[in-house]
Amino acid sequence: MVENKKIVLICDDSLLVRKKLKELLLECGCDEIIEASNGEQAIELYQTNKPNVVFMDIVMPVLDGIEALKKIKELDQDAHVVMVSSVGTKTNLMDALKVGAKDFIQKPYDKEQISKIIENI
Amino acid sequence: MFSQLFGQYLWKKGLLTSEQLKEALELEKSTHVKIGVLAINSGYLTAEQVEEVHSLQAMQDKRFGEIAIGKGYITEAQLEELLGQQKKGHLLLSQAILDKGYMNLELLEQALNNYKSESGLTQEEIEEDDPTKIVRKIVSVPDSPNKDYYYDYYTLLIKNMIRFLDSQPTLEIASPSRQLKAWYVSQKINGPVELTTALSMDEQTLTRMAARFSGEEIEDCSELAQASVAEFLNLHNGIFMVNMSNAGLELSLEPQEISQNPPPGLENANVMSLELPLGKISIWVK
Repeated sequence: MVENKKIVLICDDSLLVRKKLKELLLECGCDEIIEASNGEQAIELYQTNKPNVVFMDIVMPVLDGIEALKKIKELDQDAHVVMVSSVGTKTNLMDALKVGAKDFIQKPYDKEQISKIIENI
Repeated sequence: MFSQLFGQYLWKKGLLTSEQLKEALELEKSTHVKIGVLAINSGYLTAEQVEEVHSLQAMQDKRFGEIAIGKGYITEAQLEELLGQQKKGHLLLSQAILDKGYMNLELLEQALNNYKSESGLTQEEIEEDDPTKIVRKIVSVPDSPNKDYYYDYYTLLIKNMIRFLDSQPTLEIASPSRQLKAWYVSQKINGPVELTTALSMDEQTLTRMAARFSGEEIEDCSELAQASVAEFLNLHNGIFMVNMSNAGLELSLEPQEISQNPPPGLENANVMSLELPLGKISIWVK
């Protein structure tokens, strides 16, 4: 069973968003949730934990989500990164997809969208 | 939006208790506006004439409109117009208040007239109930190249407060105040239009707003409380940017900041204050 563990990395500077998303992910059957509050932390935690999925905010201090996504993709071409942002503009969407985001969810997110992603891990 | 403004006005004037206002707003959802209320609102009948028609209705098996036409109070064309208005939302609160028996027609008519003259809103504006137009009328924004953006920003913020903070909101656009002891949540928007945006409020309001927005049990001004109000601003600014992007203007956001002092860049900013059941919130845009 150990090899099927569902590990998810949440990267968002908002304590509220991390708390809510963590509760939802646990409900959806995730086994381990790791939290980062900026892009730099997310890169470090990605390397050490190799999560199945990363939920990444865009606007963050230290290193923003698009830059963090680029670095993670450099480290692991197959990284499954889903952007979760309040700024769902076409530009942000295109930027994220261009550098390898698997999906883009606009806040406030819908529980269904998140649980579908987890089901497909 | 008119219901929220007028409801708050009635409460402020002591014409309704907060409990009655809550009940009336609840009833509003399933209310049907009666022709008498519409006739007063349009200025075709006085409250006294409506009462008279109601008494006659109790004795005759006739509709309100038929009696009013028979008495020569309104014309057929006016009745047609009133019937057309029956589905409009802006009078539902008045009807709910009457149905609950919290105020009589005369008192309500007087309050509505007073509200119109104090707010400067015209009958057409109230009937149309377009938040963008109402905000432009009652919020004063000094002339500047960014004036239109300020109005768009304020209008969207009011809509988002109604959408995310309160299922039965009331609000008053209060005179702007620059509280000395307050929490400030701020966020910068960059691009062809540069805006510094902030919300300020006292500690109690911040705690209530955080609890309402997050759905969490928040009882003090904790890190989670601060994060919740900051996330509300982030969500609102994100929606504002999507609207701007759809209009061809690409902007970007910086992370939010929270402090107990006014953040830099807000000197001479435009301030609008909103009085919500949660407390008073001031919105700064520069």
